[in-house]
Amino acid sequence: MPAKVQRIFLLITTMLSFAAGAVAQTGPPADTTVLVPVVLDLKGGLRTDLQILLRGERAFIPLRVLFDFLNIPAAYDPATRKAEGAFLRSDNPYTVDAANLVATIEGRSISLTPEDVQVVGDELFLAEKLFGDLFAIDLRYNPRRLDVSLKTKHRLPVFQERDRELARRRRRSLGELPYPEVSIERRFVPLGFGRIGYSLTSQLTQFGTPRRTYALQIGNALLGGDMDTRIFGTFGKPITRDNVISRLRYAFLDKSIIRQIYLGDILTTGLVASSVFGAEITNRPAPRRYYFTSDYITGPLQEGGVADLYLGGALVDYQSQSPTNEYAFPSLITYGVTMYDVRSYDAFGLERTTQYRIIVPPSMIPPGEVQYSVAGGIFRQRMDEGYGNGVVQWGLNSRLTLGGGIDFYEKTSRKYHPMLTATSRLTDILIGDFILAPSAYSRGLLSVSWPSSASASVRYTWFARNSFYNPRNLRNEAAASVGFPIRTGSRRLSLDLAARQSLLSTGRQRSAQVALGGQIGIFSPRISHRRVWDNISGADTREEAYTLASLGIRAPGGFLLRGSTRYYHFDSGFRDARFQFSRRFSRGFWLQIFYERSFYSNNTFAGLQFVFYFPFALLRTVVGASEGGGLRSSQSVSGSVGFSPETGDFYFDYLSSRVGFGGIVVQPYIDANGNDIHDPGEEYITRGRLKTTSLSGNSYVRYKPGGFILTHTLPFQEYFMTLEPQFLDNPLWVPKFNTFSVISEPSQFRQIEVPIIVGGIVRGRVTYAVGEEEFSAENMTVTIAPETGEKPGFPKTAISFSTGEFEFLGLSPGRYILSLNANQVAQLGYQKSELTRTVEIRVLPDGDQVNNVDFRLER
Amino acid sequence: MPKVKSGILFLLALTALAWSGVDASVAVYPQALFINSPNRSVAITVSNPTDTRQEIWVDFRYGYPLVDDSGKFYVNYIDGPAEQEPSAVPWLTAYPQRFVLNARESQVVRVMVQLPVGLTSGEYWSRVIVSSKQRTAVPPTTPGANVRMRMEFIAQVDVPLQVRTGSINTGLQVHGITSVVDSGNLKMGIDLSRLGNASFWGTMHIFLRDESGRVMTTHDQHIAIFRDLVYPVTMDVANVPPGSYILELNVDNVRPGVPAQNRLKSDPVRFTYQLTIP
Repeated sequence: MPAKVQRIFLLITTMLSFAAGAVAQTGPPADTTVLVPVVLDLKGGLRTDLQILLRGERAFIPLRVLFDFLNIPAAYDPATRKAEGAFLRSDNPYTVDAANLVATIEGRSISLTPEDVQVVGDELFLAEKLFGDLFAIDLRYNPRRLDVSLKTKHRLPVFQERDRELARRRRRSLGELPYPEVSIERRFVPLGFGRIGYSLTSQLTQFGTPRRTYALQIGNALLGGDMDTRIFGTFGKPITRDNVISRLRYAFLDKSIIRQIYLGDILTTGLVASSVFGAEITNRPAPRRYYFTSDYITGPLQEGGVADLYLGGALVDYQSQSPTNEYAFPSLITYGVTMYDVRSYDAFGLERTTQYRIIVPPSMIPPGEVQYSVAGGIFRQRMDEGYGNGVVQWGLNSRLTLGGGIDFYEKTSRKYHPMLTATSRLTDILIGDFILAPSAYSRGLLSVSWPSSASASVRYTWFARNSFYNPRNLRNEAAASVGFPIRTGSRRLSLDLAARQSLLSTGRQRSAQVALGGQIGIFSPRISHRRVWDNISGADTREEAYTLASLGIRAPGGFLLRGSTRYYHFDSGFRDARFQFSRRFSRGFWLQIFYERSFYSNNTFAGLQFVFYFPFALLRTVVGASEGGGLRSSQSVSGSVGFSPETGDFYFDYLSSRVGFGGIVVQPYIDANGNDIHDPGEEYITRGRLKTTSLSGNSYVRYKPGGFILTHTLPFQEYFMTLEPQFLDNPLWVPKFNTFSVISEPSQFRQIEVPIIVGGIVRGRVTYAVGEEEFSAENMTVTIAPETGEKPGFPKTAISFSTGEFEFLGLSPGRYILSLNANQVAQLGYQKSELTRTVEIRVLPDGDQVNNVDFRLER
Repeated sequence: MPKVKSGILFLLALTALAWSGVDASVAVYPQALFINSPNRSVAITVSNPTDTRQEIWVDFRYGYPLVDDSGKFYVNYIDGPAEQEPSAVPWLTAYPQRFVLNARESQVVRVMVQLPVGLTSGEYWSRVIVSSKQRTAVPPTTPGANVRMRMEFIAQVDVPLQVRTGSINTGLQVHGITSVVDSGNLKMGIDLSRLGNASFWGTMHIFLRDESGRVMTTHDQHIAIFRDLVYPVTMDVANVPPGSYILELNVDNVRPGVPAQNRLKSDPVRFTYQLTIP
């Protein structure tokens, strides 16, 4: 190092030492104050500059400057020498009164000394220690480093705002589905086995007759439709027509006038849902309706504030201040209950949460749509009586659905029963449902459900004299219910009240019920009381009342204890009691020990229950003994089996209810010859991750032997699938399609073979020259695009690194053009005769690498 | 004068650096990598926990941990290793090799190996060096007008990578233990030999028993043994009364960070050693 430079080094070091140490090590005299510029460091990477006040060894921190940085509201009035604001919550005000030497926060009043506060100009400085006493914020001034460190257990608004900002960047778009490059066609299957669900039970008693039952549900494809057949009965008894229910469905997924045809045992859509053997034609869509409509969620927003929209705990949108001082989020309303939270923040980050609960009953039709259903057949349970039904519903707007229809019964005295229906979202949480059918029954129902989960409903029904619709011969019936959640601390209780009055032609029946239950720590108590008053045929009123009480305890060791009893107030007192201990010993094994005592029949039953959750079946065994009945046992086994004729694989599940669900098996393979067909010898991919998206959400699927398998998909739902390139074993492998979609067919396993092509890499460097020297050009934009035509995902851009290098990974074979941004080059004052380069990625077994695609900028 | 100006800027940068307490670095997961043939690659997640933009690049070097004369671990990097050294470096490629992460972002880097034909069975090693430096998001400026000295702080994270092919086996042999008690700490040197053709990953469970067999204190040490060495272990014996004790050493092949599928079967190791605590 030259001597001159060494001298400068010493000079600089000395000057810096003075700057750092002059104040720091000696400090100002005790009776004088100096302002010192320091850095405030927060654990978590945030820092700011501020000026603190030093008086002797004591440091004073500017309250307003510090709190402004931390996003804590603080206002200081120099005239009164009083600072005030709200700490962390809007209902938590604080004051620091430098004139009267007192501070208040959280209802506490703290006396200050003149040594705690300093006022310089328009700023109030507080001693470091005072921040700890008042706000539990530990501030430490370090004179050696000329910085102030801050530690606290509080989640400071400045961090919350940073986290929110990051969440806003990562937000997922509401209801957005990927665009598929390829939609895989549905296929016609003349005959195909799909799934079978089974449930077999056996009951044995020491002195009685054994009883063995079966229930099978078979889902298969037949002549392009999906067939669902249920067979149930008792072993040893012949199977009759009453033991079989079967229906065939044809679904048309376009917007045609006929979207579903049902043949066989169908459920009618008239005034009373009934099972008939016949046919239904409807334009009701086969996939489950998910979205009802879109709407705006609006509310006030403070000046300078930000509002975040959350759905299911995930941030989906945000808005900052608008000229109208309100937020208006476009939102999607789904069937059932949609819960949105809007968290709005004022300029200081104080949060206010508003919950929006929007209820759409399943009987509503999307606005503007008309839905019809025509059905007919014979009632198998009513001596093969002929039946017909037609219903039309119209979604007038997002608040009202109107409908009308008629029921036809062949053999009853009154054959036709017309009806009018209306379902209305009177408000977002208040639903009205009305039926007018003078020859059957008419009903009005109002129900409301608040965001707190409190709910209430009232229902009134008028009945016509009709033995089918009104077998009890009621005149009218009124019912009301109300539920209140009670939440204090960790307690989660619910109080439910219900009452009903039925007026019959022969008298009156009234009932009332009250129930209180929930969770209190490890206890889950519940008590309910029901009282019934019967006044039939002019006799005296007969009163019945009983109380149910139960208590569950989550005991140490993973045991669950539960006891319950019934008490009849007017008849025999305690009726029975039951106690049980249960524990889960492993993922698939439950053991339960129970004891039941019936005081009414003076009998006792005690025993064990074992439940095994095997991957392929659910096995349940109960063994017990009673005083009168001797030994008793029952066993049941249930589950389901799926089969894919394409792969030859079986898929087992311990749930018997899987029939009707679809299945998708994705098998990516290396398409070595590029013919889009899996040929013998072409390798299947066994490592990776498949992202699936549907209206019901996202999921990620890992490889299992047999492929990437979705074992139970919603019938007729469209699934969008992306084989994520970053999880493939070889970075040069490129899926032929970024995203493809497939429709899930009920009870069918669909095999999808996805070609993977071996792509390549392009690497290069951008440099510029100054005189004879060459330098790396950083932050230059390089674009790559196919030489001809268009490819999804292109053009791609890369920004050159500090070394001037750039690279493009995962390029499928073909010719590409790389180009520099001409405007950017021109702004730099350099010219380049060739701002583009053409490269070719060749089809090679191990992929192609094209290196040294360099750009050299010159004057 | 230009040189002097550059020198001043250099010193200022150096001073600023010393005061600013640079903590810019990236996080890498997992902390130990294994590629078992015929698998061809392994994924590393590199995340930027800082609030600054980072430029990150991935290199490979051959090396393995050893213990120096003062009993401290260091990674013995060997550039241009001899032919008999089990270096996997020439066969490794990272995708992407270089990238930029904004604050709180992460990136999956796939390390791919292309094994040569006819390779002898065994385990081959490399260290994956993930380097990072702060990258300010400044737009490119006119060349020549922005020539200046600046100091860059480059942080490096070193992750071991083991490439396994063919039949592999491992084991450990304990030859002996030396010990000394100093300021309430029992400082030991455990003389280990690695067996087989692969590194040994596991945990040493150390029990200090009195003469009646009662356990006075225990210590678990996660180990990764590549070469024969004297492994330094320190146990807190401040609360153990003076007397004669038996040190029992058990080694198994389980340790955090090594998934079950990457564990190699090995014979259990047990060694006892008598010592006196003054």
